[in-house]
Amino acid sequence: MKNIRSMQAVFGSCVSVAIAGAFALTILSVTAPAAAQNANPSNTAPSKDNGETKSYDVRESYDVGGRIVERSGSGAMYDTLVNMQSGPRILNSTLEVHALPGAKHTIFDNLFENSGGYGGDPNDMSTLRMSKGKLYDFNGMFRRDRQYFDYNLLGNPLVPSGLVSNGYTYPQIGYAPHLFNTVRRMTDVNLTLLPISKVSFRANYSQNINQGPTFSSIHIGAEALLQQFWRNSSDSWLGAVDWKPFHGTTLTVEEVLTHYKGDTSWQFGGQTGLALANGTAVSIGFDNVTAVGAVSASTGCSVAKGQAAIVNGAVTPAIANPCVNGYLQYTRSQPMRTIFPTEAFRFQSSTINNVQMTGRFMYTGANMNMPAYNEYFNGLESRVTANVYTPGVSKGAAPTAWCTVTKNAAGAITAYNDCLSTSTITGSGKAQRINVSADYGIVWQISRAFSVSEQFDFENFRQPAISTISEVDQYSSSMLTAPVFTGAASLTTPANYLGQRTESNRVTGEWEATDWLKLSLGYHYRARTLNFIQSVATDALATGRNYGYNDNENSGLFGVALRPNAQWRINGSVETGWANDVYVPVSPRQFQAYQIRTTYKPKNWAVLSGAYSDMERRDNAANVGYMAHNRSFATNASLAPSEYYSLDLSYGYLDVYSRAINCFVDTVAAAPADSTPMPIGLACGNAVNSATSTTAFYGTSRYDAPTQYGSAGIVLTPVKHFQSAIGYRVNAVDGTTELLNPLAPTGTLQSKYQSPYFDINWKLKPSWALKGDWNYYGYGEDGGIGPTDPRNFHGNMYTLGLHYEH
Amino acid sequence: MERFWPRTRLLLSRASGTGQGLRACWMMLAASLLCAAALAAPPRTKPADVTTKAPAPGDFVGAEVCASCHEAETKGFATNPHTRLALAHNNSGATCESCHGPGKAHVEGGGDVTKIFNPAKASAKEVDEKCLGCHAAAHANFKRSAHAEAGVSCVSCHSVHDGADKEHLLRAAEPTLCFQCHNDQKSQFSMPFHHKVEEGLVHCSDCHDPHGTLQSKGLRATADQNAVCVKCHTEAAGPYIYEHPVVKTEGCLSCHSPHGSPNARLLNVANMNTLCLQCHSATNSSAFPHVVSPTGPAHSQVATEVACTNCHSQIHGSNSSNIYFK
Repeated sequence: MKNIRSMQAVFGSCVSVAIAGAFALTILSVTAPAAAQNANPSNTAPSKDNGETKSYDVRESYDVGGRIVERSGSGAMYDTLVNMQSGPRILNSTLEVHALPGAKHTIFDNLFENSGGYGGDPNDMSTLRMSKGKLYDFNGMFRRDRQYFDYNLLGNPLVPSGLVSNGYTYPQIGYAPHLFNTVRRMTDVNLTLLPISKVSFRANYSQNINQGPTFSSIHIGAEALLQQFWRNSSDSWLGAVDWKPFHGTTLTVEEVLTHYKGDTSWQFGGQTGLALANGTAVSIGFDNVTAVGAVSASTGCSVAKGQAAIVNGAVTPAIANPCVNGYLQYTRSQPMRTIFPTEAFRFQSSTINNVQMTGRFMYTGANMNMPAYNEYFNGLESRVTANVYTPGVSKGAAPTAWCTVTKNAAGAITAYNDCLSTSTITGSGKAQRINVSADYGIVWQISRAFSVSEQFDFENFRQPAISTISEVDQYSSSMLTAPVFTGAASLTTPANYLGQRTESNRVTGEWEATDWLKLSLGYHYRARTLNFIQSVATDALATGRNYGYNDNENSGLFGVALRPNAQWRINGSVETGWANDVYVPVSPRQFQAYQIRTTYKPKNWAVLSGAYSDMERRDNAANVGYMAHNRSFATNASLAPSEYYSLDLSYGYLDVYSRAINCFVDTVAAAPADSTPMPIGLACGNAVNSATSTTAFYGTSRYDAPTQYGSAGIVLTPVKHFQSAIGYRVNAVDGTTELLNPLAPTGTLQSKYQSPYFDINWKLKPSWALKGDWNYYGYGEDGGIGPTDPRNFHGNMYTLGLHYEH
Repeated sequence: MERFWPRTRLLLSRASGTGQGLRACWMMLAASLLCAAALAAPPRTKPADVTTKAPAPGDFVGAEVCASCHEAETKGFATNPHTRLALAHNNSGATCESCHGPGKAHVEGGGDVTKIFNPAKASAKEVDEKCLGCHAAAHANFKRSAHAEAGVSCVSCHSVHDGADKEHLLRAAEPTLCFQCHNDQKSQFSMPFHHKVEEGLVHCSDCHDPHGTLQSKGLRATADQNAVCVKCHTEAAGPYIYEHPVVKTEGCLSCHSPHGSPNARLLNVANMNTLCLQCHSATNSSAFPHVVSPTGPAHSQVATEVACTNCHSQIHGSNSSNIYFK
């Protein structure tokens, strides 16, 4: 992956520089006339310099410098969490231009530009805002985000160390099979014409491009590592008219069109250093938990009958058995285009005394079109077979090579089968989403002390989908043998549907009892109906799925806002609710949410704050036993008693907990702690315990992640021209979870992430300053980390910069 | 496109209990109104407020007069967005008296503070009314927002004279401003895996509108009425030929903790398989017959099976596999 990372770094940098350059040129071209006018920040009115009238107040600043990074430990983890690298940078730049009062014929009244991060930081950003009085308001933003992910958790290969087959040691994959190194570029541009007129116009354009090399996986007998060429993008246009027919009332008509392009494609990318006897590279899966066993004497092609998965481990590359599940080739492409047209009508009115209303009606018709699906597999999958010879039925003798056999109860062979060798799948598909929603909210200030608010929401979406998929399969006895049997093309024409209609209502009464006490009481109701149809059968659902579902949810709300004095504010709220049914266990039948926040300013220079929140969720249905909570407590103190120093202290505690009864099957190892065998005769999937066999177990899905956060920061300004800051931040997780698989990494459940820092800012001259930052990143994991490389790392990042402003 | 989907009863039918629930809501509303009427009889009248009387042109003194005493407050006005209007109207647009009311009585009273509207001394509701007098169209849902209910007024976050954030006149830039009250969120954003809010790439206001929306927690939504998450994660917007229905009906939060998590994919639990089994377990077959695929838990979980997403890699939805393989 080194190549991918370095190529991307170079590519990313080039693009970044190009974008930054383009942005800079644009800004310069717009602002050159302004900047040329010899700015004078102290001016508050047009003045003359050499006979030329100045119209603008111009201020600009630049921070240029670079970063020096040194690190040790896991580079993959450093890049996943930090990804700051060495090199020169445009750390920051700002430009502010303001038209002076009375200036005539200016292009804009105000212009503001800010950029930072260009030159190699994972995140770059530029903003540009321009406005001219009542004529227009413009703002644009560009954001670039490089996301590097090499954390071996989601696609955990679980390959134990030292797994050997016939002299060949299976390699452990030291990186995430679902590694990605993508860049997201987001552009948002907004223009409002005549912003304060009776009729104003808005236009918006947004673009989101996300691309880069990634890995994925596919399961066809064994798991193959795939190179995933990630490229998704969307373009969105908005046009809107705002009409203010009366004072306090605005009517808006909006049309939004979004075009999504999904061009991600996949190809076989995970050779594991194996070849067939004829030299063809082959993969027998990247996540073999145990060495693939010998192909039994009664099955398997004649070449490798009775041999282990690795025929010869003494040569390089090692020779793999051609009769096990494996991949020689795999490609897939499924370009899709989706158009999301949305029409919206909104209104807002506060024209009627003491009544404020808002409403919205929206219609979206999303159309997804996948015109050309193409998938090709070449290898061997023993699960999918074709009968090539039936003793007593077929003429002639049994074949000398076959992939598998079928036996009857007496052990006699009833069929000789070949296995899936190649599969060519083509087709097309379409899906729609028709979404209609209407919302209305009103607040009526009945008296000075009492108000009531009401909000009603309606949403109904329907998603029909169809596709036509044709599959042509060929079968052979091994990966070394040409296909000898071609099955008939199979045609799949699913017609699927998902629809949901939701109505909800919330009414709240608010009583401002005194100047320091406000109470609110509310009730929330939601009703939902859902239909789901999936016509294609699965192994377990021979007729597919077709069901309807509905639920009703009720909750009561209570809120209190206290202001004992001008310096102290306390807010609290409670919401408790229940539902007669829930769609999935993690959507609870009973829930309570508690929140309390307080802010106290005993002095102008001191702010103390605290917060506590608790979200409790339950589903006590039989054999579900879902229970979860998110509890957090945090406190903060910001003290600036002197212009020479200030102090900021924070502490936070967060506990995320969940559990639910589950069942699982263990046919290999001893059951994990927390699990209990299921009663005899009770099934978990297709596994049933008997008096002599225990394979089905109850588990708990238990997860508990108490996390503590602390930070302390001091800002020192001993003299006017010198400022420094020193601080420390730490986040520590000390969690536990049900460990179904001892080889599965539990992630950062036992980890500590520390990042102390030290900054200085030394103003050399009125326009010049030196800046220096030191940031330390230390990440460590305790306990078992699973079958992967250690993820601990330490990194020091030094940033030096020169600041110029005028 | 030909109508190929089954005719739905969704538009025609009503969820059982809907009628009762709505009736209960309306009854609650009616009861609230009655209570309100009782409490408000006779309604208290507003105290004398200079802003409620239609001022005569002669009641205004002009910004220059204000600046002669309130120099500190007017110093930052040169770069204040409100001055756009002043420029547009040749200094007769939004000025000091647009918010504080006509200043003649205040000036003639020798700076009598009772003769002018002072947001620092006013209640949250009075401040909000003043600001919404111009900004109601932009913040149509503010009065029903959690901030308004909690008495967090406009000036709690905005410094009208000269904010640290020039565009929105915020008292401090995001997320520092938000963390001043929501400091419990700070620990989530400091987890090893988090959205890059403190790094400045993502702002709280990208996902939440502090002025309120029609959704809970002030969450925004995309133009096509999807979760705000798909504004960036566009590939999850669908529609798919094979939907994983929970993604669309229950939302992203069923599986993800968007602020931060110990899990690399911001999952709600540490281990992928545990997360999947919370729903896809045969133990749920009586309570949730629709979510159980019996082949799921039949996969051996101990030392033989990899992460569910190794095979079910397209778990948000697929256009070619009903079990989300590809």
